[in-house]
Formats: sequence, C-alpha cells, structure tokens
Amino acid sequence: MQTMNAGVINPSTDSPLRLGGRPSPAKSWLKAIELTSRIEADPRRLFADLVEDWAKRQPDRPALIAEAETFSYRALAERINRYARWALSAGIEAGDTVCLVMPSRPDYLAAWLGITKVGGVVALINTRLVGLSLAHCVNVADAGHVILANDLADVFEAALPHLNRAPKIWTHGSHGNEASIDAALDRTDGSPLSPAERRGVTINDRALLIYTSGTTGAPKAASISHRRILNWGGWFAGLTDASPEDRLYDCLPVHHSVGGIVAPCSMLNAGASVVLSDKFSASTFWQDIVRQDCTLFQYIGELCRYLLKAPPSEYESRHRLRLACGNGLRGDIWEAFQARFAIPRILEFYAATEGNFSLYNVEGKPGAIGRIPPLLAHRFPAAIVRVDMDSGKPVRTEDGLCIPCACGEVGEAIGRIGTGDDGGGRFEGYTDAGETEKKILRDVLAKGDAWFRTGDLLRLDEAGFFHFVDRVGDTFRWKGENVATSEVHEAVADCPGVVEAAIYGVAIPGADGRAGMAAVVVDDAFDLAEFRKRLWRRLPAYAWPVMVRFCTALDTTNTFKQKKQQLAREGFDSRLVTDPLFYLDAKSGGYRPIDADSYKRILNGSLRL
Amino acid sequence: MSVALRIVSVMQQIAKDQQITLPPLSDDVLLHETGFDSLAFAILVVRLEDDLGIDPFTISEDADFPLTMGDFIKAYENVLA
Repeated sequence: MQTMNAGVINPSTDSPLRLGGRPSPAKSWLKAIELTSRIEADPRRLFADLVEDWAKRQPDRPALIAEAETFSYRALAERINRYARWALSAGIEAGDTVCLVMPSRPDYLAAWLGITKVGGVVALINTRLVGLSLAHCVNVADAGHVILANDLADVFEAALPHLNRAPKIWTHGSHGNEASIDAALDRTDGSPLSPAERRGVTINDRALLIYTSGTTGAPKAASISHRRILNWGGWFAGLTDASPEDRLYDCLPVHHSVGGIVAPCSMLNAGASVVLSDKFSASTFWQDIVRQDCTLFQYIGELCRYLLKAPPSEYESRHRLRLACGNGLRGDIWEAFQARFAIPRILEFYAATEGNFSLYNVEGKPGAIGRIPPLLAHRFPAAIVRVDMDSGKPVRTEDGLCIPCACGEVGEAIGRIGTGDDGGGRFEGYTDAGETEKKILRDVLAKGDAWFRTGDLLRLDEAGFFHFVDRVGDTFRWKGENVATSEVHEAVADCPGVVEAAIYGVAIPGADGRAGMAAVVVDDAFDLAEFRKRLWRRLPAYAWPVMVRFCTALDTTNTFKQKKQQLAREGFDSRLVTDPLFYLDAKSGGYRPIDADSYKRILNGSLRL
Repeated sequence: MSVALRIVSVMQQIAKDQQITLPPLSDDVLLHETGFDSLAFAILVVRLEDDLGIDPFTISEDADFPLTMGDFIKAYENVLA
C-alpha cells in the first residue's frame, strides 16, 4: 500500500476534504486541477489579480514577511499597482524587458508582479553574477531598464563595459538621486488600474525571463508566460492544500523559478503568507521557522542535507510545520530527515523552469520524485528514452525512432510538446530560437512528433514512481545549481598559461551532485593564485572548479572530443592519479594540494568543499 | 446498488454539473471517449473515494490506469471484492 489513508476511510465520520488532518492523494489532485482548470476561462486574469482579490477579502493579513519590509495583502496589491504605473510612466512598452537585480525581499515580488501586469517583461538576474557572466544575462534580455539594489551598484558598474546597450539604471534602496525608483514609486498611485492602463495583457503574453543553464551551454533566458505563473501557483496551492492560515518559509533564491515563483505564488494563490529570507543558514533555520510560526517550508535537497549534518537545535522539533515542499530530497536521507525534524508530510516534486511537464510525489514515497497520477495517465506527456551515456544522445532504432526505456532502466526524461488539451505540454522556449530548437527532440515515438529534452536521467519503478539519477552528459549539479561545463571551460581556457582544459564533475561521498574539476595543461605563464583570482571575477561561486588536476596532455577521441568520462571516473583519488591534484580550501579560499591526508578527510567529510 | 451502477450514476451527475454529453456507458467504451476531462475524472475518483471508501488507483502496485469503462469498474470491484 502506498498511502496510509486508502481503505480505512469511514465516509460517515471523516470530513470530505480532510482525512486524519491531510487530504488523500485523489483530493490533492482534485484541488490542484480545479484551481488550474479555471486559468484558461478568463485569459485577462493575471496572477496580480488573484492578489488584488485576496486584498479585498482579507486586506490586513500579511502576504509577504521579511526583515526588509512586510506587506499585508492590501499593501502588496497597492505596491504592485505603483510598480505598474511606474512602468507606464517610464515608457516601458508591452514586451519591453526590465532587468531586476535585487536580493530576496517583498518588494522584489511587488516589482515583477507590477511591471508584468501592464505587459512589461522582467528578467530575474542572479545577484551573485559578476563581470562577463552578469553582462551576458543582461545582454540576452536586451533590457532598456535595470532596477538595481543600491548595494550592488559597484558590481554592476564593473559589468557595464561589456553591455551591448546602455540601459537606464534605477536604484532601489536609495532616495537620494533622480534615478531612485523608491522616489519614483512614491509619486505614483496604488489604486486599481483602469482597463486602458492594463493594455489588454493576457495569460499568453511573456511575463518573465528566468535563466537556466540546462544541458546546452551558457545561461539561457527561459520565456515564462503569465499562464505558466498561474499554473505553478495553482498546482502548488492545490497539492500543498494551502489555506489562508498557512505561512511558508522561503529562503531559496528569488531569481529561480522555485524560490521566486512557485513558493510565493503557491501561498499567494491561497491567501496565505510567505516569509522571505535572503539566505539559508543551517544554524538559524529552525529558530526562524519557530519564530515566524511557519506551517510549511520550501526546500532543495542540499538544504536538507546541511540541516541533517548540523548539530541539534532546541527549536528543531518545536515547530508547527505540517508540510515541507521541494525538490531533490534523496532517498538516502529522506526518512532520517523527516523523523529527526518531525515533519508530518513531504511533497517532493520534479520540474524544470522551462520544462513542459512536472511530477509530484503526492504519496510521499521516500526517494521518489513523483508519479504519474493514475487519473491523468491516459494523457500524461512524459516518457523516458534510452541514451548513449558517453555522447549524451538518444539511441535510435534502424527506422530512426527513439527507444522507450523498460521499467527500471535509466534514460533521459522527455515531455511531449503540445498545447495541453492534445496530450502534450507547452514548451515556451528561450529568447534564442536556436537554443530552443536544441532542446527539442523530434521523431521520438512516431515520425513528426516533438518532445522537450529535460537533460535529466530518470528511472521508473514498477509502482509508477520516478527516481532521479543524474544529469545527462556534461552538465552537473553542485550546491543546488546546474553547472554548465562549457561556461566554466571558457573561463578556465581564458586564463594565462592554460594551454588546454577539460571540465567535468566528480562524485564526492556524502555530497549531493558532483564537484567541478578542471583538468588543465599549462605552460610557464601559469600562476595558480592568478588563475583563482580570474575565475572569481568571472564565474559565480557555485561554478568555481572545486578541484584542479595538472596533466601533461589531454586525451581526445578520434572525433577530437575530450575523454572526460575517463577523467571523471579517475576522480581525485591521489593514490591512483599521479598528476598533481589541488582542492579549493573553503577556509583560505585558495587551492591546496590533495595528499593522502586531505584525500581521506574529503572522503570522511571532515574536510568540507 | 451495485458498484457498476453507482459509478455510472456518479458519472451521470458529474456530466450534468460539467455540461458533458456522455455516450452510452457500455463496458467497451474507451474512457477518453466519454468526454470526461482531467477535472471530471478527478471529481469522479474523489466522489467514489467518499462514496465507496476507496481509491483503487492510489493503492495499486502498478501504474496502469484503465483504458475502458469495463476496466475502470473492475478496478473498484477488485478492491471491494
């Protein structure tokens, strides 16, 4: 039996919606389907309208709570309208892009909800980006305006010379100058917008650009429509069974789809409250949860692992949590995590920012990422196909079609592209049409069909549950982020003295994902300290190579592809690899040699990377 | 009332609420020919869960969802038998 409820229900005494304090899987699905099936009926109703409706029903209930500011539903609805009117007054036309470069705080959500309400498109920029990688993301967005947190002014200035066009910069958090957005917002009115002001925006229009590294190279801007935001909010409001009494703790980055849209919108959809924290801290996590009286939190697997490794906190079981929702909680720690922290229910899911299907483990089966809901099975758009692990390409039969994996076999997950009512899911693509095409797999189960490639290796078990295995090919995950080796390779290869480089991920016992390793061939001009300095300027922290291996030459295949698989298999075992090996010392921030002792300490976890 | 009759009667009620025109519900009718969409099926499974006390699809050890009306009814009959 997969659930504790089925078969023991007494219809005469159990309430129709709640069984033992939680809804049955079928009721969770029904609530989510009900909420999302309304979206198409009124294409002019945007997510900001749901907020405004809740503001009428419960104006004083907190919507977004943080140290920086707290917005009641009324305050949030007004703030959204102010941002909308600011966009109109700044001459932002429907379809024009505004980059948002700000840490997590309530005003962040107000900004994008407001600007998109009148047809502006908001590009959510990672605040950890610097130099060329920051410039790349702003260039991809082709933005005419940037809203920039005052604290990040210096970082942005360093990227300015690399921009294709000079955007107008509005500073957030400083009232002093004419470029202050706070001052501009003070001059606008927060009352509801007139139909003319709304400019006829519908759910079909693009609302956001969210950056994803995916499997095919440098960060790409995924196009997110208003429809998608409404769907994310509706599915998660339904499946988490959210109500106005709920309060969710969200310490994930707000420029990502989960921390920035899924988590807050699931709660705002239901009239509930969201506590935003601009960073995760294992030592204060439980204290925050208790102090803010949260009933849910949003996780990624790495966060759960850090919490489980942390020393006991007096707060860790004194909370009022009913649910933890997130992705990446793996089977090896699931039950220990749930038991130690007394979490009644875990809702693990699988989705990609630009993906066209998602999976939900509504049954709470440890280690699984989701299951095709039986009642949607006849039209569910996902499949797993066999891939060649070395080339990363799907295997094809003689007649050119892909091969669906058998139960238990590992393959790449793909989603049939369609419009929803034809048994497929919408793929909205990226700003770059070429990149969009790269993610589409054609002639899969029949000639002429089209599927979205997730780049994820999954496995389906006999009970219909999906399990995550790894990323396909080059891209790997580290510290909760996908690291595209091509981007790291570019940065490494640009360093003085680097003749040749190969970038790949290596597994480290007890850590999620894989740690980045750079195998390099260098000449006399190479200097390790300079190498480190250059990478720091160019790459976000999660993409820095955690290990460096100095080779005399790098083997290539007969098609001149690097034999990275072999290097990855050899890893960082100083007993097997005779090349000099270095690791990135978290304490000093410099690279240090891997010797027998440090190798042992990395393996037993006493040396953290 | 037999399980089969209860299922058909709940389906007719949902069809009325959702303004769906049902074909004659013989055993060999394919479920996707009934005109029921995801919402209608979700309502059906939940109503039957309240009515009969079971959701045979959540407790099942295999992932197959029935294709025909006959299989759908059998899924309930098997658990209740």
